[in-house]
Amino acid sequence: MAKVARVLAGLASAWFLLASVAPAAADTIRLPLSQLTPEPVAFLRGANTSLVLKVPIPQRWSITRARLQFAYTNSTALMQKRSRLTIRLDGLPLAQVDLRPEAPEGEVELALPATMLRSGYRDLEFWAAQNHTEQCGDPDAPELWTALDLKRSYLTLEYRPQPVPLRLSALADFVFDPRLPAAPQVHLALEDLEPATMRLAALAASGVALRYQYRPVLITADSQLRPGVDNVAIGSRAYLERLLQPYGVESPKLQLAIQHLPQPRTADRPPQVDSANALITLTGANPKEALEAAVMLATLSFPWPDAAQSGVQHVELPKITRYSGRQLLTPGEKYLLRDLGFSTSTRRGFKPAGMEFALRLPADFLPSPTHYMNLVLHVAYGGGMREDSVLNIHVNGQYQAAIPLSDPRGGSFQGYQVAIPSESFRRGRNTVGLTPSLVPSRTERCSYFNTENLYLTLFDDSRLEVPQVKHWLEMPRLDLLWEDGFPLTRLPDWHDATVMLTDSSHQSAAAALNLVAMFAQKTGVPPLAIRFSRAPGLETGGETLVLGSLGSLPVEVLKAAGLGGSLGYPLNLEPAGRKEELSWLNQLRGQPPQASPASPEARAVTELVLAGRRMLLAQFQAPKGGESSVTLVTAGNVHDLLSGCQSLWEPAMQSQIRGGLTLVDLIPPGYPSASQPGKAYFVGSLGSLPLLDHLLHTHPWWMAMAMATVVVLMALALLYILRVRRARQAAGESDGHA
Amino acid sequence: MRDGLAAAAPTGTSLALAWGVLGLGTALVLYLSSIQLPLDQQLYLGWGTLVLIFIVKRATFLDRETQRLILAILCFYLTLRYWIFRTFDTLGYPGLFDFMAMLSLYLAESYGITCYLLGIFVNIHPVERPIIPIDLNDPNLPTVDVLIPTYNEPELMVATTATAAARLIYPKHKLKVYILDDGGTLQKRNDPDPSKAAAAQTRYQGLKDMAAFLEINYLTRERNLHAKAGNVSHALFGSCGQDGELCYLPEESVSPQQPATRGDIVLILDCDHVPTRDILLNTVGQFMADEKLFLVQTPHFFINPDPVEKNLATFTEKPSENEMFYGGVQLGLDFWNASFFCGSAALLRRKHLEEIGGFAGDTITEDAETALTLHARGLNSAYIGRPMVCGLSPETFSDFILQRSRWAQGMTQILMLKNPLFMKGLSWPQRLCYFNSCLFWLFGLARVVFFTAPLCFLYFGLNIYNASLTQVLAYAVPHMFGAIMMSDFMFGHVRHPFFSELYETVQCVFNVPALISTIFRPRSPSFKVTPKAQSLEMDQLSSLAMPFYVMLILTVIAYPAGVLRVLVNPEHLIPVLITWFWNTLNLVFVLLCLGAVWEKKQIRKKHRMNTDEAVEIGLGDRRLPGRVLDISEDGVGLTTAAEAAIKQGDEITLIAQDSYGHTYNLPLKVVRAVRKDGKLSCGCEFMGQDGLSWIENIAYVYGDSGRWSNFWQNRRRHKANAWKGLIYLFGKGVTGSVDNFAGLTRLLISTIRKHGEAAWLKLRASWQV
Repeated sequence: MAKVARVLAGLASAWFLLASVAPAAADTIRLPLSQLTPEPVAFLRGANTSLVLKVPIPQRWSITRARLQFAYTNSTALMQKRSRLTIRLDGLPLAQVDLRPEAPEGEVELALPATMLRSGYRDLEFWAAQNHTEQCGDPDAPELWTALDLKRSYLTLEYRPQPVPLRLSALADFVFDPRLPAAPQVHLALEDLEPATMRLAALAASGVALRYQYRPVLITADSQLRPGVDNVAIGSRAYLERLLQPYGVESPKLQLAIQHLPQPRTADRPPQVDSANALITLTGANPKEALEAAVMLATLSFPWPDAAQSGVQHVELPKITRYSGRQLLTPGEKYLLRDLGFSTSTRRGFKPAGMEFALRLPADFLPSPTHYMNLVLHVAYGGGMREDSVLNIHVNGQYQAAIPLSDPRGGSFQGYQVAIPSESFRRGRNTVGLTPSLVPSRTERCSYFNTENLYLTLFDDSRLEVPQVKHWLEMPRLDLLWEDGFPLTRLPDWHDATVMLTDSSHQSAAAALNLVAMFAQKTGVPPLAIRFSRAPGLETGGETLVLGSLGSLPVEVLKAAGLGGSLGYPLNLEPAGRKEELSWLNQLRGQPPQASPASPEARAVTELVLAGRRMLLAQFQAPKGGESSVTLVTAGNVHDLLSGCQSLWEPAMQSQIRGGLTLVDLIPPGYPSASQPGKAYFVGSLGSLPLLDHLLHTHPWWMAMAMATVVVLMALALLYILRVRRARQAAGESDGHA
Repeated sequence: MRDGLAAAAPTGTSLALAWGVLGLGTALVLYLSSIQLPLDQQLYLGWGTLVLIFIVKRATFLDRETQRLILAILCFYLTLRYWIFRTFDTLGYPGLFDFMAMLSLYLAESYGITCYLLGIFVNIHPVERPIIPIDLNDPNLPTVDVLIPTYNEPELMVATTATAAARLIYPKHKLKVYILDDGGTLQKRNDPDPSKAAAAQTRYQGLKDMAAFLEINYLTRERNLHAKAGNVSHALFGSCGQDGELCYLPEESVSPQQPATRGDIVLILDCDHVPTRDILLNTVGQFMADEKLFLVQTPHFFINPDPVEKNLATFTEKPSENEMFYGGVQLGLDFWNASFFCGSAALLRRKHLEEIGGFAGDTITEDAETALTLHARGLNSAYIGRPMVCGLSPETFSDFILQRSRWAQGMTQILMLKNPLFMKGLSWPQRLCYFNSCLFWLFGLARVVFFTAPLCFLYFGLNIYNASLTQVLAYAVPHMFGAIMMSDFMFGHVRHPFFSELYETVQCVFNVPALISTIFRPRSPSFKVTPKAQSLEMDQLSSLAMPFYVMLILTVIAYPAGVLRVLVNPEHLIPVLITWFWNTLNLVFVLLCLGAVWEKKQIRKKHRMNTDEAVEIGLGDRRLPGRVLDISEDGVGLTTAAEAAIKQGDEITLIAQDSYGHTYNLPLKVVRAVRKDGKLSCGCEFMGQDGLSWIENIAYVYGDSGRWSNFWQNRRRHKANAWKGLIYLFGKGVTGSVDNFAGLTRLLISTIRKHGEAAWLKLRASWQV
């Protein structure tokens, strides 16, 4: 489970890079193996060990030829006769390589049977049997290793694209297939950029992104179809007729339809279609119908019909509350592990793989050292294990606790409670790892190890109890956008959020759609209540996402964002400390000190943005105050804005965005950036009087002084009252206040 | 307006405004106490508030009243934040035993916080009530009966008090003194044990004769019913010959159908409480000024150290344990019209006692119960902070524990049976004051928890306090330091730092069983008289010492237990360090307790008080200036110029004046004369052995309240901060426990030697045979 999750996590970061890996030829892709696992070098340690890579094969491809090329280095202590590296595909051995001590480095190329590479995730396994002695030896001897250089290893796939089935049900598994190795591109053809249409587009883009699960989706938009990619056309029936008429294709009759992407018609040939790409049309006789169709497209659980067109009569959605969403835990609630995506799992053997489940905590979750996440586990384990067998529990890679599996007769725990400090969890995504360490009862060298009895099952009706903690956060925190779109998605359906486009370009619209789709993928909830606005000012309440080129931004936004400051340029291109190190080395070598070419100069932020190939993100408190934020994304021109927003799908880019203001050079893969913390404000509540909380957190020193004044005033008032009482007592009066 | 506090007449608007500000401010403080802050901010807040408290405490530009109120609000805020954190963030259910330990500690802390906050409320505005002068020729002066109840105390002690009472400054025809003797009742004199009967008869006759000599009254009754309260009630309301009870009055004027005493005001004095001559002069004016006043209480001043003070040798260096009550708390209670009757050194108005049918008798602290009943009828009380009786503390540790256990049981009885918090007729401040006075006596339960809590962790690893070190630093430490600073501000002049903890630790082991029994059976306790004037002929270990040795062993072994815990669980290092610190504080108090239970010998017949007064020394015809440095019933210590021709055996005259201008000429015999540092120091005995001389001596020694006031004031100058106070106590603890173990060793050696010699003699005798 853990290995699979790691592989999937690696894939998430890898797929985007693949977009820049140009296919070697048409219908050929050369996939670096380092993109299939987080580690660039994989070590196979021990006498019997393996590395399994999950190779994604999408349904759209029919593999015609496949070759595996890999580089390895083995330990020189290995005994050739008893050391082999076996390559297996879905368990079938395809090749064996002698691990020779006298030639410890090697490169191997082999053909993989294309027929075995059916759609799905295929297990490509490097299995090493390693020994350094004829006799029985220590299976964990440190000299038993082979390293696979995955950066120098490739899987080359030649494939024939399959025609898109003309049934809507194919959208779920064929068209928007998360197994596509390259970052998919989806084009939206929009009738106009009015708020109502943009809302449909946002729903459609989010629906597509949700289907692609964790994968980046590069979204573009304009009023025409784009050849070579999947298209979604959105607009009135009249618009669709206008759009498709030049292609000689009839407009579908129903609200949601799928067809092959039409090719531009020429005079000398009949209408052609690109059967490898789909055109999905989303329309309606009126805005309500169109919206229902968009909601249908955006909703993952919607049952698609096996027909090319479908009408939508009524869509009923579950109520979406604050702090809901995929794997998002609400403080004070209890969750079964199965609800967090964990299935009952059994681990077996000497060094079994760990188990893992992920969860998300709200971005404004305020952990406390005295509040604990209570993990209540149902576990069964086998008999005949040594008493030091344990189930180790980690949170985000940090060890937290262990459950002893110390009964040699085996046993089970019903409701074994482990209290983990809430501070061990972070805002956003967390992983809880459960790694069994199962030890055979006999481990003497050269004796038979019975590992068949080493069992552990963790049941998915185990649960996690989340403590009741407060929601409170110091803002601005641009980095939290990449956790779950916070604060825009505090209500994950964007109920309280507005997207404001400050110019009328399709690039800005596409940039917004990329961000909305990205956040929908993070939360798992489509933006059902999203609003778009073209108002020139920040009139709307709630959260606001402002997008547009710098020149189009309203003065009010510029003023509120505080873009009048400066930043050091060049941005952080070199790692910190590098310049000092060079200077020191030069001095030792007797070379004169050189001025660092990267010495940053303070330059106006707006000037830097306008200079091009840069994007600026800012977050600040809404001018009306309160807990609302404005998130601003801008660039010198709309092309940079779109390019920047598309690159935001990439984790490397996301990691550069932090604080209250970030300027980022759009230069992959490093994306040099500079950030400023921004003026602090606070969201959430530590108490029940919002105004007072707000003042307390935004002006703590003023509040402290005000409090001191209040204390003095109270003391004086009390003194007066006490003196009056005393005087009345002295005068022999009865005291009504007593 | 006796104290001129409210010079400006309050207007309705300004008072309403003040209430408004106070109400809004309180709401704000309560709200701000409840909001949760990130830990770093709480650290700033907690320690910042502490700094503010420190500054305000030293802000000389603020008057003391304003300082007190600002400090009270700040400390209230800190403490409330801590308690809310403690309640909502640190409790949980980690397991049955952990939970029990955790809950016990929480409840003990909550109890302590409640007492602390109530203490702030009670002492928010202490009143130094001025003395209202009286005109002794005023025909409207009320008549006063001085009642001296006695049971089994030495007759000489009774005689001393009666003699001093007979010399009170008050019109003779308006003052009557009564010895109320329960040791010479008919029941006692007819005791089946002939020796007891004879002793009672001797006592009866002796006291009667003494009363006749002093021209005061002797009163006894037929049977010993309802202890001291019954004795006094009988004197106040019992008719001679009624209900089969008998009166023995020297005055024929009392008819058999009338109460024995008839004064408007009653001054009640324990028989070891020798009054100063001015006690009526300083108190009766209060009754004349306020018709609704039922009580004037005055402090109990003790001439001798209590066993803890004596065995730890703190009596002359630090304020006595009871000074906090009589020098601080009663002043605060008086502001709220809640000063209560403490059994002696108090004047009560007969009329009000008659209204409630005499002294209340549901509890064994009938004095406080009576005051509670009268307060509930809307009557007033007053407290005059000038010491005007001189009494005796219990001499032995067991007597001390007996006395304190009685008080604890009695106040717990009031809490359980009367529930002053909801008693009708009391104002809310009075309810809180009485509730606080009763609640305080449950300290034994909390103290046991505070002692055992660190042991629970160090020995058993029980999760007693679920908080991180940072949280402790952010919440608990500021609260504790704030409480220490507030206590120091309120009571620093009358209570040495950590003396409260010492006395609570000393008593807790013994009063917890009594408390628990009283809580479950509030009517069960019975009155036990505290023995006075006991002598100890040699150093000895108190019979109540054993629990402290057990506590010592437990606290000492807790250190290696902590080491073991860290070795097994290295992550427990910080909790172990914290509990070690806590355990060390407990250890200091245990060491002090060990010092307190090693009873120093007490063979002095009369207690000597240090003083420093200018006198004249008559030597033949000459008069020399001199100073009295100490004083007792037997004599005085004098100093004069070294040139004075005084030698051992000389007879001299002490010529002294009291605060009221009365001159004493007392013949003395020099029993010791030493010249040193240019001064002649003489130890002198009073020579007059006849009754009249003795009366004069008593009047001189005990007559002037200024002497006791000065003694208090001198002792209160030894003020120490908390840290120095702890160091001082630690030194005393080490000294005391070393004395204890050295004494034990000597005792062991002498016992072994004694038994060894006896065995040897026996063995030798058997050989010879």
